[in-house]
Amino acid sequence: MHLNQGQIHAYLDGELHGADEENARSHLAGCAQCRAELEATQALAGSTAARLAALSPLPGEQPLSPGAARVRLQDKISHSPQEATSMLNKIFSRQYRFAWIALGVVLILGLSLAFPGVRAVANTFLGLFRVEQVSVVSVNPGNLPEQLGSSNMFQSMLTDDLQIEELGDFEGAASNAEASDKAGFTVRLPRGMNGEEQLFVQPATRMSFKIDLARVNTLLGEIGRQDIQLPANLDGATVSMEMPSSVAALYGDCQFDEGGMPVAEHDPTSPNPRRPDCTTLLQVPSPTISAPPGLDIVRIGEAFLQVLGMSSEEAAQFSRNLDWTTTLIIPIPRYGASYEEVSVDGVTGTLIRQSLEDHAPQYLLIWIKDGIVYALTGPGTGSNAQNIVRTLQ
Amino acid sequence: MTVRTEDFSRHPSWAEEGTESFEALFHQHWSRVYAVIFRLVGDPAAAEGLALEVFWRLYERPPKKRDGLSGWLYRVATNLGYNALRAGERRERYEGEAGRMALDSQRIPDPAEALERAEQREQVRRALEQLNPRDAKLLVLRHSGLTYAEVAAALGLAPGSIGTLLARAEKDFEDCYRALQGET
Repeated sequence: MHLNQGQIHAYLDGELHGADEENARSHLAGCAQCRAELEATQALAGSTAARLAALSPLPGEQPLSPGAARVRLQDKISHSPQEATSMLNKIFSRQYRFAWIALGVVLILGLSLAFPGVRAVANTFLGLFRVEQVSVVSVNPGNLPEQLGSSNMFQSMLTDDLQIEELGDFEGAASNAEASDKAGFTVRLPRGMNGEEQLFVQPATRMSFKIDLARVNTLLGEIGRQDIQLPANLDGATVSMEMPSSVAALYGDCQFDEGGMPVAEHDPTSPNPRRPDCTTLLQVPSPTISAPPGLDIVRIGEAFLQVLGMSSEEAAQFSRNLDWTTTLIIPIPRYGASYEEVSVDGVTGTLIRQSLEDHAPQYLLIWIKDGIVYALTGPGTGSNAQNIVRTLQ
Repeated sequence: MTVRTEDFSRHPSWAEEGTESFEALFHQHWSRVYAVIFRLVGDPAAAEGLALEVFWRLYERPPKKRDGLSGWLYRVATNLGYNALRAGERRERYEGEAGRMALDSQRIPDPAEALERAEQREQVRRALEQLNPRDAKLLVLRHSGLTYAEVAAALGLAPGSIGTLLARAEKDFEDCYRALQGET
């Protein structure tokens, strides 16, 4: 039997081994037809090789040495805008939408629409350390630098080497037990709720980045707040945030985006935004943020308040009674929302009501018990919220 | 209050035990990955950028399957290079290449020779562009010095089929090349 074209080519290229090579060799010795085929193949292969050889790098076109290239790669790794963009998209879409809900930041109230910047800034500076309590600060939207809302601006605020690690997958859960098992803590759910119950477990997430003080100062300059002073030792500090696995329970007419996440925001461009009749309970063990020792947390906190529009005196005044290491700051606008402390679940919680004229009222009740942050949101003024909490088990 | 300093300098994907070392892969394959891409794009700066892109992807988003990482490397390299070849403005590429060669008087003292070489390269790339993508990649990988087994791993082919595929690809390439020569 004659050699096929592939065998002949492989033979020519020294890619036949052992017995295959031996058989080919002895067959060729006795078969003129295959020898002719071999010659034709060799001529064609030689011609192609000669033409393709023109593409080989010439002496002036040689690659960098591996060592030099490795340095350049490191540079690319630490200055990779593409990845930073996608990571930021990730942060501010699915993952952190959830995180924000869980942290009780005013997102569900729709207030964040008025303050994209608050969200952005808060995400950077908020809660260095374990969240144990909540404090509300009311801010005047007029004082908030508009530019902060731009994502490009915020992107530039962070450094290049933001790293995010998701420790698991986003998934649904069929029961309280399953959700507890997946999330790794005991999930409590209300009873007697209207509408179908849907449970989602968000994986734990770790994010870390290195602060580039020059960059942050440039940004502060761009928003006209050169007066805000940040501690010099902030530069180069690696900050890492750990968000434990969280669980969302949704009841009623809740909408979802493509990623399966509940849509908490309405369309900001719509004049009469539809408020889905959706009640949501989110729970997450307190997130922690780690930073190097020696950072002046109080001054960073005051800078944060100043970015929100406070004068340095106001910020100092507010900051005096606050433990920055354990407090989650929730900015709400001075007009259109109110808040009060309420007794809930055996602890003191904060009930925030949104009462803008052209919006149906919404409430957010946030409290922290046994190291778990709970955030309950729904339509109305929250008169029923404490009743819902009473049914938790 | 929780204060910790941690070392995140190593990317989590590469921090696991027992995975092939990123550094070893880089040092072993850098030059050849560059050369594969260079053949397709013809510009040292562009080739370097794309080669860095290949390793950056490997670093940031390594494939879940950790065996056959070198096959993955050449697959990504030929894809990026081939896409650049397809997307590249032919005239721009050609003029840039001729100009660069002419400027590099150390290498090619004669501007006419530089022009001729650039023309030749251009014609080879045009012929590659007209082949089906798999054949073009196959030829470039093989003529960059990869073994049949390596080519097969990179393109997801059976090693035993490489000889046959090469023979066919060479035939098509010659036909295309000659047709292009007839045009000029």
